[in-house]
Amino acid sequence: MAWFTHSSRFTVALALTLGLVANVPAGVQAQLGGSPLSRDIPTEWEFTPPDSQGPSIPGNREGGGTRGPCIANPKPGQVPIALVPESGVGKTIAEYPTLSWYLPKNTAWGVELMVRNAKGEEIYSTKYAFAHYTGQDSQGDEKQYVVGAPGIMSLTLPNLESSVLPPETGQTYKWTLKLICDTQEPSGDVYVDGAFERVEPDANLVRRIQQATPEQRVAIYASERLWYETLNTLVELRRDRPNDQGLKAAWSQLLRSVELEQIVEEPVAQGVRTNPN
Amino acid sequence: MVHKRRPFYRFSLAVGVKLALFAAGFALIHSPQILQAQGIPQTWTTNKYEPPRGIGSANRVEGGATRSGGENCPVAGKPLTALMPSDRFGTTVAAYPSFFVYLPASPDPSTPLPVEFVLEDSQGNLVYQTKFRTNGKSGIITLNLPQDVSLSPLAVGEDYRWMFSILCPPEDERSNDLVVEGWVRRVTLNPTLETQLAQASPTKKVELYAEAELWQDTLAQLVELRRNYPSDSEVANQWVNLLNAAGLSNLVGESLASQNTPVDVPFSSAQP
Repeated sequence: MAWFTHSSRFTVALALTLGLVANVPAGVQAQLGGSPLSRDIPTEWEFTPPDSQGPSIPGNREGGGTRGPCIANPKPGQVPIALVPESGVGKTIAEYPTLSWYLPKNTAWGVELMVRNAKGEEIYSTKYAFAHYTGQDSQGDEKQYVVGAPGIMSLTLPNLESSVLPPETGQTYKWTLKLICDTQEPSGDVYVDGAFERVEPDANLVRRIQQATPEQRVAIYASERLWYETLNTLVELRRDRPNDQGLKAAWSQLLRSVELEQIVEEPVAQGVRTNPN
Repeated sequence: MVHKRRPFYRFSLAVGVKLALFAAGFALIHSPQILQAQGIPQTWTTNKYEPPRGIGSANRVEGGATRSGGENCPVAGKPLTALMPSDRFGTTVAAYPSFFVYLPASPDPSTPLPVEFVLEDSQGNLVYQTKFRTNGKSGIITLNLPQDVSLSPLAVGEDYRWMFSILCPPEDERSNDLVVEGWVRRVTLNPTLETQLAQASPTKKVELYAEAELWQDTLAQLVELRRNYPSDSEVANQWVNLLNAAGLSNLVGESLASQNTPVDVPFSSAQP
């Protein structure tokens, strides 16, 4: 019940949602906030080592093993990353979870995302071509770079009315992202993977979430260790308010809690949505 | 396809009344448009745009009387149908348009049918593909393109082919699939139309899109309205008119299941 104990932050957050102080500079907001949101993010996301009995624990959060020929900047840390805790598994209460990944600057054709249930059956997959822009590499050669990279991309499993088999509560689903450098050269593909565990929210939690502002939701989600909800709510907040120092600190804290501090400075706010024109 | 001819005066009266109510404040400026308003045509034809060549062989309806999927792939009820006009060609002003398919029921709900949606450019290069399992229920489903993942947008003036398949067992034997397809072209949004759309009521938007022969946008707007206002009689009339115009009147009563509202509202907006 974090927001009852931080009444000043609650007031500010409430005012923000009403649009009353929408133009107050970010720094002032952080000051007014008193207790920063980052304090509600744990320093270590996972209490205990992951339960290893599950059959689908992924082991490849970062695409470090294979260096895709389409990664623009071959320096350490510049690899595709599935945004999941160190164990590879994050919890979610979403019927149709939002999966997020980081992509470094690259010239890939596109990606393929596959989601499998605990039995290893594919329940959803998608494969698509990226939008590109023309840029120059360090040698001055023209390259077709992917729009929105470097950056964080998020895809919500589609809610096709009742037509998608909804992920079942209590099950762990593995997702694999394949960066396809060249459709003709599968050897250059880079794989990363993660997993989500569907858990059932109790009625009290649902009520608290419904009554909370987005910032309060981040705190609630974090305290419940709902990784996907914490991450996505924070990503959306940062996209809306990229200069908000309080959100930046919370974001940094969240990535540190899962040992992904190398992408703290990477953009989440700009260039992710493909310009429809 | 036999179209019941409806008295045109009744239709134009309804449009006129609606418009008059909506545009009361702009009556003087807008009255010429009231007279011109055509709304949804009796028969959907594409006059402004020439469909791409070679789409004559495309299937709009599959699994009908002649082909029900066979023993391997039983489907129940009406055949798999792409919601497209009879020439299977639709235009859109959207960079990421939506596509609509009537999905027949699976006779055995315990064995949901895997389905696949594919969007290709006119050279056959893949743009977007997705595969998932249905829950076996029949109804009209929406296929959206994801918007926040740097997906290559549809290029203006380009034609794209889309296909929707029910993957019949064995899954690696694709010749058994039930497949429907359509073509879509992205066109520029005329500035006049853009202005009109910005001022239009939701049902007026349907008419404006229809008058501009933008099939995908007309349908998308109307499906959204049908979901949000299932008991609105004007929306219901538009729905009947549009499906009749496209020779799809057999689908008028089919369910357009509403989008589930997830408890985690904050990030549902990122949905593709």
